[in-house]
Amino acid sequence: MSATQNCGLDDEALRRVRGLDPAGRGDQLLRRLLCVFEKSIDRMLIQLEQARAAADAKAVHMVAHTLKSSSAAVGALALSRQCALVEQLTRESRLDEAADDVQKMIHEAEAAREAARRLVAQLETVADIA
Amino acid sequence: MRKSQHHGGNNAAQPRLLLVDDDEVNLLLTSIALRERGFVVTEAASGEQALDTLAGWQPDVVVLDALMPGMDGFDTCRELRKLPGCASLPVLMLTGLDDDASINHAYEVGATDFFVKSNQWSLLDGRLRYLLRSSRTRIELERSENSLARAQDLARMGSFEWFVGASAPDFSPQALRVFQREPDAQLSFGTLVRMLPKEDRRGKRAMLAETLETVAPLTRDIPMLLPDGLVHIVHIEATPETHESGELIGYSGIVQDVTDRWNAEHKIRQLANFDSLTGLPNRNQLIERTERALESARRMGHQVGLLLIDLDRFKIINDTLGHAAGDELLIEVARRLRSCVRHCDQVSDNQIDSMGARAFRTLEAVCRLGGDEFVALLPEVIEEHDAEVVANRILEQMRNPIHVGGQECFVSASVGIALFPRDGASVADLLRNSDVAMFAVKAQGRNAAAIYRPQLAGKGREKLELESALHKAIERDELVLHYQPKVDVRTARMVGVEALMRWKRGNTLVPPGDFIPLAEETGLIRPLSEWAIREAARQARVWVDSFGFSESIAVNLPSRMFDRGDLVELIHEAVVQNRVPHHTLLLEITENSLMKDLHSVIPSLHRLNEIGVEISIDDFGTGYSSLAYLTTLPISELKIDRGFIRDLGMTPQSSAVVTAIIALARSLGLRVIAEGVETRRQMEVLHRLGCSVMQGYLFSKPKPADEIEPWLKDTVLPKLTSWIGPAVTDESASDSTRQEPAQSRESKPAVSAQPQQRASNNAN
Repeated sequence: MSATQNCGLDDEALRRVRGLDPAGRGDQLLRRLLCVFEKSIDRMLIQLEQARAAADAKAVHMVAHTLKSSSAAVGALALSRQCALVEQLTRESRLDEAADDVQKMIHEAEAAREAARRLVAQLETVADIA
Repeated sequence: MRKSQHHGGNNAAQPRLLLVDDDEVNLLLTSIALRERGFVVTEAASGEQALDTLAGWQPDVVVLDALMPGMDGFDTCRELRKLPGCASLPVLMLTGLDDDASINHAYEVGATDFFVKSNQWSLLDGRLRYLLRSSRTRIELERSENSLARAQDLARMGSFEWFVGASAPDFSPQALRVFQREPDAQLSFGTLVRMLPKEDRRGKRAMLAETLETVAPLTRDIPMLLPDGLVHIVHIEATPETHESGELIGYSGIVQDVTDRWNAEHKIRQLANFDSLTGLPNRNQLIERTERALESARRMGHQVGLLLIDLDRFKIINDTLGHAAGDELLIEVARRLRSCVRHCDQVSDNQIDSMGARAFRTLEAVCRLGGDEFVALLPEVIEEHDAEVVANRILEQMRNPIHVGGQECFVSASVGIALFPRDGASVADLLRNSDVAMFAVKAQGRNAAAIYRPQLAGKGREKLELESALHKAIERDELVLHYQPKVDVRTARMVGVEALMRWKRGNTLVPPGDFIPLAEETGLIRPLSEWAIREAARQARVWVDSFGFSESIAVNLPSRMFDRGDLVELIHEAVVQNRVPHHTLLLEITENSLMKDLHSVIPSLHRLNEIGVEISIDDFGTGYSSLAYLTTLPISELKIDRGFIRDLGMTPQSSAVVTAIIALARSLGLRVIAEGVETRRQMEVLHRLGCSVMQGYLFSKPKPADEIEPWLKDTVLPKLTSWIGPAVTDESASDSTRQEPAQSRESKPAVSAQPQQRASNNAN
């Protein structure tokens, strides 16, 4: 599958997810996971906004940590890297220094959510046709 | 490929797993991946939720995300460990951080292992399988440790180890329980030694020192005084551990309270080695002790004495006072015998003990061989006289009466002495030769002691063997009766038979002269006679059926059979059982035995007579019959002793005696019969003298029962024998001999004594 086909999500990661269901329902599993991912980002973004408003570095750190591994799982690698960076920066509670990167992480998260949505729509079309 | 079976090793086909992760994406992914690999996954989205789940249910393994909002993985793990049953639950901590601090933290809070989050599911799977395996191993180990502890408790056993230099062995809690101490108690060597009985301490210290010095394994049952105030037997089994150089590192082993087993073994030893009636060592023990005594004697060059003690006439006491009284007497005899030697119940077998090389002296004892036979073992005899002194002491001890069953009994003993090595090199030889010596004492009148001499062997032994074989002859069916016909030469008829006992011993036929005297001596004559009566009655029945036998069978009985109260019943039973008339049996008693026991015999004779059983006096003419008695005795027949018949026609005296007997019989109204008739001449003389009923080789040898009928058929009925011709011509005499005895008492003799006597005189 090409990058465009996967809406910018990492081929390798998606292949691994699909491979988890050997009964041929790989796409179904992927769709479900992507939906969970979307909702997770929704929730994370809300938590992140609250944390930023409260200047709660620890909460920001936790969001970055969680998003880091779930985004890696669905192949949103840019988001995962950005999360890792923010996670690193907020570990020592340096929220001010991380402000730009947190903003950047929000953008990446929105992008990843969009990619996931598109891919879900695409998979549903394929499923309908099938 | 990734079927659960693929991951062999796991016995629980589908391990139950609790997955705890706050991130839904990860939760979903991980859970799918693990389900695919055969786990049954239960999900929890937070630490709190996980703890709730664990409160009511237990998985095989927990996978716990380290970083979570709220209660994080570390806190969750710490709390989880406090839950019941979760102390050793395998917990894998998943962390995105691979820094040392988190890892250490994970271990600190009780995680079993940690795993860095990744998408390499097979790695996670492998790690989980490993955790499960080690957890199971650990559970099994705990279970096996528990069951070992339980087993040790049950077996009253525990382990210990000791390293060189330590002042106390390191005992397991179970071992401490053996010593009745608390699980954390310290038991120093000093304390342990103080638990030994005082007299044992020195010996055990020496034993321990020697064991250590030689780096030997240690196996010992040690009596120890435990806090319950009782002496227990503690079994110690320890093996040394050494460096490669051979230098001792220490000992490890077990201790066990074996008091119960020891008691049981003691009881078994007691039963196996001691006579239950007298408490004396038994035959087994005697043999064992004697063997050891001989061993020591060989080594040290002294003699060993074996005294066989047999009570005289014990059987009579047993028979008259009963077995209970007999037992009581044996107990008292045992007590007295014990006092005659330095009797030791227990043999010391420990060379290190104070007895040392003289331990064989504890072998000295009186043992009970069985019945009324005892043996005194003297393990060290310097000269023959030593043994005689003990024997005399024994005889002396027996002189005082013994009170049993409310009576005073006088018991004496016969003692046979055999000495090692002179009289035998083995236990069996010594026992046999002391037996020979004892038998010689019995033969010479009992109540004495004798030392074995080679010339004693032989006669006595043979006789004893014969006696024991005769004992078994009846039950082995080795006895038979042979029958010798009695004939009336005047009528040429068989008028009866005499039953004569034979003993088929192996292939030889033992003549009565070789065993009847022995049977009389030993009392075996009674069962033998009883058998003869039953057998004769049985045979009579057989003959009645086969050829109409209507005469009598004479059975020889010793006088002692007549003083039996039940002789009449015995005979009655025998004839009734075989459906033959009472007069079928005729009893022969010798003149000698009749006269000897006259008073005790007479009542029986009368009763026998009353039921129709006739009595014949055997060997008549050899004894000293009181003629006065003879007239009143209920007898029917006189049997002239063969000695007179033998000389008949050769010496005038013999025919004079025969003539007198015939006259006597006639005047008393008794039948008369001659036995041992071997020649025609004897027959003719007897016939002339007025005795026509005869028995002897001239007519027939004693024959097996089944040859009587053919003999009758082939020789008597066809009148084919030489003895028939001349006799039957005398018609005048034939009537009187056919008459019943009662009538003949009145009737006149058919042939007068006078001419016969003359004829006899003429013949000589």
